[in-house]
Amino acid sequence: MSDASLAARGAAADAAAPRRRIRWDLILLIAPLAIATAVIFDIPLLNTAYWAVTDETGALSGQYFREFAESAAYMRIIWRTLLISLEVTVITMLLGYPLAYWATRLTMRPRMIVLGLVVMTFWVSILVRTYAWIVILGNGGLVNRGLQWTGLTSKPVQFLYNEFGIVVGMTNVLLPFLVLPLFAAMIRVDQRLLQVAETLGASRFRIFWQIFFPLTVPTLAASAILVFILSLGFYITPAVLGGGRVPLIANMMDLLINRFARWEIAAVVSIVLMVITLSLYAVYQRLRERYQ
Amino acid sequence: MTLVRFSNVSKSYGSVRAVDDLSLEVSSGEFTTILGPSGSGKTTMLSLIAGIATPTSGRIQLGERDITHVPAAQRNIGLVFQSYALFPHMNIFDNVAFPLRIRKIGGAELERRVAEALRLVRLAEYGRRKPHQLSGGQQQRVALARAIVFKPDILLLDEPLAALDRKLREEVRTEIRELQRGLGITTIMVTHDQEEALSMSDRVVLLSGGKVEQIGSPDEMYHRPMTRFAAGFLGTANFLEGKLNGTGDIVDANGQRFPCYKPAGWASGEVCGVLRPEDIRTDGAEGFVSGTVRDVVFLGEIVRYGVDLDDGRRVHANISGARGRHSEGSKVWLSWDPARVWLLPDTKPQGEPL
Ligand SMILES: Nc1ncnc2c1ncn2[C@@H]1O[C@H](COP(=O)(O)OP(=O)(O)OP(=O)(O)O)[C@@H](O)[C@H]1O
Ligand SMILES: [Mg+2]
Repeated sequence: MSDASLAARGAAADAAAPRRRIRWDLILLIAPLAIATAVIFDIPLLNTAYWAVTDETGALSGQYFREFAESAAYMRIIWRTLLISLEVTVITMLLGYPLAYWATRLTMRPRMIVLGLVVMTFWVSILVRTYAWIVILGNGGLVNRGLQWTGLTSKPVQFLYNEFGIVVGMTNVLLPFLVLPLFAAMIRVDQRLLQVAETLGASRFRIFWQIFFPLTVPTLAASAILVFILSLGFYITPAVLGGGRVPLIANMMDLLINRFARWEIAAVVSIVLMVITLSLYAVYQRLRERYQ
Repeated sequence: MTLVRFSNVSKSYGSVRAVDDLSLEVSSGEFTTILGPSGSGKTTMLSLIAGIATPTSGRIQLGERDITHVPAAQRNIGLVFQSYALFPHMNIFDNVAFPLRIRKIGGAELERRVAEALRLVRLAEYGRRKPHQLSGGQQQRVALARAIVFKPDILLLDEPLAALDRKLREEVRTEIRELQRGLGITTIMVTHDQEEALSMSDRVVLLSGGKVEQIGSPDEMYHRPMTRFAAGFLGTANFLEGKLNGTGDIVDANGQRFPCYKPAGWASGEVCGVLRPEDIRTDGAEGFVSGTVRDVVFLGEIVRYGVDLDDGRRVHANISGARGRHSEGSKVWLSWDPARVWLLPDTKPQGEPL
């Protein structure tokens, strides 16, 4: 056997050896974090699942799921949450897409100002922003006073403590989650694609709908799913702007646990919510991977 | 027939004059290359023709039509970007069909013309693929198919071969040339590769700093450059600087004589002669000037010698490989046919002809 092939074998053995050795140092380093994660996140979750599928004696049972499925009240709240989330998502898309597009069209300085305003909302507490809507939309708020001053209405319009108020508040909070990724995607669209389309004879309308829009749709879809998922778990905004009259899932859980101590039903609701969220998240990840 | 005419066209970006008071004519059916160093305004010129950019001043005509302010979509010009710019979300068929669908062509006619264009670039089987599933050379050819499928009046190519490896480049080069001849389509190609310009075009436009340095056939550009810049940009040139005397020699500051052929009507004075490396012989026992071989570069078909003349001047000579080799440090005599020395016209001395 030649020296070269011997050397090659030696090198191969060296490379294989560390793979077989157990890296106790690594395991020791990772263990605390892994155990903490399990204790803090997984055990409560498993516990919740356990509550949902057992009865008082601890035997496996679907009774709480049945109770949940047969109750019109729970179903109505879940439907309402899904519906409001959908409304918020659609409105966010309708407002966010043009806003992001407009931002890409601005020159550097105005663009920084617009994006700065959008990012700034992240720095203001969600509680403050929610209460700010009461100042704006309340019966004695800016909008109602304006309407009455112009004589369009004589009585204040009821904007708050109904679904409308919730949708406005949630849209406001969630808009940046759509605008920022969309802006990033739009800025990345190769300008030469649009120019080449123009030389091929395409009108501005066609360039937008057949080139630009399809190239930004994956990001639009992914961001919309993110917004939808986030909407499902909103608590403060429906509590404040809904005035307790329009509870969503999170508010219902609060009632079940803190008012009625129905931990098992709350567990069932969490599981249902989690399944919906995780399925949507899977779609979101799939879209992100495919197009990034 | 003149197809494209630039009349005093300028294009400024802020304080940069990308194209500077440029006038130019391109004839119908010709293959023209725009050659120039990076930043000389080549891409800008194409953009002006395509209508992606509008000139700051001047006039651009297509045939008899003034297109200076006609939108790109109404010019009927096929453009291929250096980056190909295929629509990533459409398959190859739809990419090529795009300009046809805009022109309301559909059904069997659409199928036929797309298939025809793809066949021309030898990609007939690839219609269902997405751009990212093709190699660089294949994407390049799809971009070409998309640019010719709607029968444009002019085809514009911006460094179409720059991203390809050497072998593929030569292949696509031939392909583009044959395609152009076959379709008879007026083509303007941008390149910064002098070899590409010399081998492909009917005419070469040499740009420098947004201005035309020289226009001519490849042969003219190579053998009769007007300026030092043109001589140096197309191929390698030895510059012989000195005083032209009455007997047809260039005499440099050290008294070294370089025989040349004095054109009629030239006065005595400082001139610059161009001598191409392949016109120099190094195999004689005698010659015009002597020097020492300092650098031997084996290039395959030829060997390039860097010879330091006795007065310190470096001269390059290309010798075909078969004709024996000198080694570094050996003394050689250089000679050439005096008629091969080209005197740069822009150095023509003013005064009484000799
Ligand atoms: N959109 C633009 N904005 C500002 N300056 C520009 C723009 N496009 C080109 N320029 C400038 O104009 C000059 C010519 O640019 P151009 O792209 O035409 O050069 P080029 O000859 O194509 O160079 P290369 O071989 O590097 O592609 C350069 O100095 C460049 O910086
Ligand atoms: Mg360029």
